[in-house]
Amino acid sequence: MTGSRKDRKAGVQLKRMSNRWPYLRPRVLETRHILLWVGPLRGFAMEYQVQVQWDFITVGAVPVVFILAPKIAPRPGTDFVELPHLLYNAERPEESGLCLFDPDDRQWDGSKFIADTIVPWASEWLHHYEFWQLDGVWRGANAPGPISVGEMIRLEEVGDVEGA
Amino acid sequence: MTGETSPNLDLLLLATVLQLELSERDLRVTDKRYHHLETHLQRPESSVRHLMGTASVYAQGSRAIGATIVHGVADEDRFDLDAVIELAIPPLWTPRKALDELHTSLQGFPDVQEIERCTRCVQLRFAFMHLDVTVMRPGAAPRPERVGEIFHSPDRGADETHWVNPYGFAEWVKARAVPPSVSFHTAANDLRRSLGVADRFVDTIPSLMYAVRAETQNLPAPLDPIRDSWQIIALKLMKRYLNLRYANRSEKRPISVYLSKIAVEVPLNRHGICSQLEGFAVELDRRIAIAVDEGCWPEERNPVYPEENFNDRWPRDVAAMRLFRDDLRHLCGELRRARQSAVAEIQSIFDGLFGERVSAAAIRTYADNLPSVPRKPSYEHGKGFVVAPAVLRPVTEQTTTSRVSRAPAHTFHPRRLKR
Repeated sequence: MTGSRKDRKAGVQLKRMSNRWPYLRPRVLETRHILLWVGPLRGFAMEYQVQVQWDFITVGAVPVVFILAPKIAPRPGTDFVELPHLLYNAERPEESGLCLFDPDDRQWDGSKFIADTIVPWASEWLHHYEFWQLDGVWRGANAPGPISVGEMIRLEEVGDVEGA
Repeated sequence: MTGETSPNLDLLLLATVLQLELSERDLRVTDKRYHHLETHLQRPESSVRHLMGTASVYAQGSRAIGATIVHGVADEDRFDLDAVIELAIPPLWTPRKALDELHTSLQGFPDVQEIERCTRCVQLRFAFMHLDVTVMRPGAAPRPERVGEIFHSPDRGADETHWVNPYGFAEWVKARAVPPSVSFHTAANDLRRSLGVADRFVDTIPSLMYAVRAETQNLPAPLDPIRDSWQIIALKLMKRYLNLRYANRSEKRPISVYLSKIAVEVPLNRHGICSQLEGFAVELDRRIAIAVDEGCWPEERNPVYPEENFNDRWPRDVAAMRLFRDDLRHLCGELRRARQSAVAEIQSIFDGLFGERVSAAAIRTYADNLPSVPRKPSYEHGKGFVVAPAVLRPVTEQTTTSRVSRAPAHTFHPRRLKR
């Protein structure tokens, strides 16, 4: 993804976040040019502690949401790689982030407010995650293709996915 | 917790309540049976036929205020309809004779499986439905609207009469219940249509066998928005919960009319249905606690006819009040737990509160109605995703306590983290 002249500055994003999500507290990791917002976000009914992480220096950097507590988990008898719509961390799967939009469809770029997109999408992800935990059915809207990295890997093995 | 919104949990509570309603066809069958009362009592062999010239029939109880639910205990999908028949009962008739004559006259009612002469009414038992017919002797002129005497005739003990005004009470409840907003009522009806509630009733009464006459008041329209008032929804959930709690007890359940009065005395809670139900439970607990602590018996009276005491048969003793308080606290504790739980645990909590079959169907209804195509998701500022923003609008589109916006449409997508 490339940046644009419309990319929102950190101060603008901070202000919007404090207005829409006042319980997500901001913090700056100056050495890594990273802005963090940490606080509660609702799934179906209960709240999760989440962390929104954004590199505010690198042009076009995409914010990533991590679930701190309670930890997300695979369904019994399966692995993290089968969790739908993760930004899958193969080395430490339990530290995977959420994949909330289709980059090929340009659903997010730096001109968009994190508060208006990434955070509500993360809440929606948590809502659908709870139902997926219940019955194994993901009910959110999916981009075309596999819904998990596990499925992606299986399709790659049979050569059905290009550039996955 | 009554000050916190939980719109998705509210939507699940709404889906739960809708499982307890009758199908539209069953409502029509109910209407036919109710309207057939007058026709049946005018048959030549009816011993009250000569009293029917000035008779008047109308609904009372839950059906009159949109609070009817299927009983649903032990897989019994029973639904009750209470009707009053005003008859100019001769002064020399005792309560026993009035009830016995009504009992005799109702023999042969179409589709009925059993007819029982109860202490205060005659109960017509159909498959999946009871029709309780209470005979009333209208008060003498000048008569406050629809005030009259009903009869109490137990197997043991003396006959009694009680002055009542169920019609006035139902009107009072309807005036006091806050009607739902258009968007909430629409959302409830959309969910209702998606349920496909199964038909239950057998119907062999030909449509032409009855004619709607001036003497028989039409039942309240089944689609009356009052049934989607949050206070009435809370009442229905409370009744369902208590039906299950008392199913295997010998103690009597708190009576519906008592619960109905307090349900609408609890102000509308703009934070949602869950908060409304919690507030209702807290208020009932508060009133009973005062009665227990101060030794003054609960005495909720008909607000439009104070001679009528709703607590004349419940509670019988302090133990009954303590038991009720335990149930109310349990309900509040479980709702508090639901707010802090994931869906799988909430289903387990609802199994215990409202029954496994109903709770499973409610979860299924909720899940089946989630859109799987990209659309702009709504979210409550500072809280999170909302499936149906209408559940945050109890009265008008402007009455929400929350600010709700919509995010751009998007699709979820899996990726590998690149280092």
